Amino acid sequence: MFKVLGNKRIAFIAVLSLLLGGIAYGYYEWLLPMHEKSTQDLATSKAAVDQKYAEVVRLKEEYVLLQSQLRVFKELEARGFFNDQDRSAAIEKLDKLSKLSGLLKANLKLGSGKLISDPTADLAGQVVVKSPVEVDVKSIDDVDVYSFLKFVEEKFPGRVDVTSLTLKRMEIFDATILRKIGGGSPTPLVESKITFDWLTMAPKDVVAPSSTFPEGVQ
Amino acid sequence: MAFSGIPFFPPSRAVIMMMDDGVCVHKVSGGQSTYLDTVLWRGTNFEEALKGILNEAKVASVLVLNDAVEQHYRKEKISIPTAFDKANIIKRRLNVAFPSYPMRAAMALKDLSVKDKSKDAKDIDKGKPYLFAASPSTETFSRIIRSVGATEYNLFGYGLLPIESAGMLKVLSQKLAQKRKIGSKSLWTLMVGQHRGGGLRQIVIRADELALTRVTPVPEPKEGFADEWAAEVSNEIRATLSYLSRFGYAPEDGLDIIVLGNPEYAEPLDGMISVPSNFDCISPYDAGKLVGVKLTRDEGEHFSDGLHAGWSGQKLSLALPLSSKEITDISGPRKVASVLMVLLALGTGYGLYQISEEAQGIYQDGLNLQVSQAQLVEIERLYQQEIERKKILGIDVNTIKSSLDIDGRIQRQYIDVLSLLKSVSGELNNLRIDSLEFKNEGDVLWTSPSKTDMPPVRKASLELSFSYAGNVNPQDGNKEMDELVERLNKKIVAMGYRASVSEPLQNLTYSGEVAKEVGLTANLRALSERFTSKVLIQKVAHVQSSGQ
Repeated sequence: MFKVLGNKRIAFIAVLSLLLGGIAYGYYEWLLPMHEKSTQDLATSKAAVDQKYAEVVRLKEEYVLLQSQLRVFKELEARGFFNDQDRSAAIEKLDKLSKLSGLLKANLKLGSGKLISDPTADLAGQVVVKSPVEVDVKSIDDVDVYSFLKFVEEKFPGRVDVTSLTLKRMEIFDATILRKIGGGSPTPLVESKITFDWLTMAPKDVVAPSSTFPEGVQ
Repeated sequence: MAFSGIPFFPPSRAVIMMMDDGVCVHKVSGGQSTYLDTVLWRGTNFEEALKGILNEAKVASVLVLNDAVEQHYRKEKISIPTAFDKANIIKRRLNVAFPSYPMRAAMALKDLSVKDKSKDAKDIDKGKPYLFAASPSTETFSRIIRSVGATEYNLFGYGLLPIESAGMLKVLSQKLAQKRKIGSKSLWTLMVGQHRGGGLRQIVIRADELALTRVTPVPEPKEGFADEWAAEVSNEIRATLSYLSRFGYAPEDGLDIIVLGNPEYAEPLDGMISVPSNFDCISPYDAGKLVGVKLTRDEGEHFSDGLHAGWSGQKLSLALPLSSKEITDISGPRKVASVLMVLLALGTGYGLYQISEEAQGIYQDGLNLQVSQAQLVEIERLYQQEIERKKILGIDVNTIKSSLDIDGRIQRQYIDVLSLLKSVSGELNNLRIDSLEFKNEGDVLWTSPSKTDMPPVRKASLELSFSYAGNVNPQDGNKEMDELVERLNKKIVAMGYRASVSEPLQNLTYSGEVAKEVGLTANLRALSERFTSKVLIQKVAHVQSSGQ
């Protein structure tokens, strides 16, 4: 058979076979993995570019957004939303507000505050502080109670969520009360009880440095 | 250097014309037919000599053309019922026709007699004409095959010269007719040419199919004795024409006679042929120009074997290839090897193409990677720029975003009790609230599972108590309460509240229990008693105006 085919044919077939084998080996063992790697590197690089580009876009958008939100934020800051709820300052403030609203008497009771974990606040390293406040009020007129409530909502630091309010006019036909009024002494005619939640934000590392929340955390 | 046997290089072919006293070798390459040498059978080392000539020829393949006397032809009509039976029937008929000749083949002919036949005759004779051809397997042929086998060349095939050259006659006849500026309407064409070695080859075709062929020994012409050569050739032509009538020739069919040879010797023939015909005398050189075969002027002066070799040597396939075991033993493996080489070459080409594609891809990826990295550097710079800009602004983005979000959520769930009381006070008219109780449940800082979710409506209620004197008609008092509720609902529904009388002054419907003292003293006592009625306002929906 080899004699019929001749040396040149056999040599040519052998050379072509070797060449084809070499090509196949080089292609599958070397070139293809190299191309895959280069494609992967390129994809990784492009992904990094895309990711960074998205971050830049986000920063730019945030910057524009912040320009518009900054005023609101400053207002929020000015009204004491960022507050660690110091009790003495709160008592002092409520005292001022009760006097301002003309209440005859106001019994203040601040319950222990709770730290509320919130994912949005977590991002900024902040926590929401929530404290229950009870105020027992006695006044001559119900308008004073409403004024006090309005002052609390507007001037007390942070946000106030009124959870309950009771108001009752006292019986003015009672002889003792009538004598007091006649004697000129300030006599309460309205009794009220205001309960509200006091909400502020505070840096987490200030109010909860150990980052473990006390009881009542939601 | 020629790449013998390798099928990718320009097809050049050695044509071995097998004659009665030897072989004549021509090389056909690029349309050029070149006479190489003649090897006689009786010479010493025939095979070595032929092998040497072939090896020196540097060609890709070898064609063997039988130009010897011993060629056998037969015309037969074969009825073939179905196409599937065709091969078997022809093979069987060939066996019957030429039982002692191993190299045989058949080709279908045009049935020129059909148009002459009536419909009835056609119905009777449905057979199709076939030309059977055969050649003996002789020792001389084996010597040629052994010589070819000793070379590296592919054996292109083995054919009979008259059959392979029949097409050339047709072309030549038409070209000469065009030259004469009359259309060739002759059905018969006779071509006469002398080959090296002295053989005078006559080929007759009817239409474009072989009808008759003869080869007879005629001495080569000598200068000054042209008439002698012409006389001998004339005798041979006359003999051929006498045979022709047996093959159905009639003078009205028309006859073209083409004599290939040196016009000096051939032209006297014109006056020697008495049969009505279109006589043409042309040198093989000029004939080659007409049929697309290049010959040198010296080679194409008189002998026409180069013309036949050039014509058949350029063919892509033979008209009627003959086969035998000797031929297939050589050509079979070499053809398989050729196919394998083609496949390997195609595979190699495809592989190289794939490699170039991949390499191009890698190169392109490299370029793109550079661009990407440059982009990354630039974007990193922009990123740092943005960070710096914010630092300069002195704000913490996350603090702003989170505080505004939390404050917004608080505001959204916030119940404004003072606004509600203000709305209530506007609808009291002359009524006076004795006491009120507001309750607000649920979490003000509601966390949405998703941004599109609506927060729940907080469970908030405000109960108002009203006091009436005991002498008031309860029916009037109830009506007053109902009217208050109606007024309130008009105002507070938009705020998401709904009011209702939770406790009337006195239940005057069938379900109520009523106890009343009547009489003169009863009115006085009634003045000291009081009725109490209550109105309940409940949060039922989000504030409509804000879309919640």
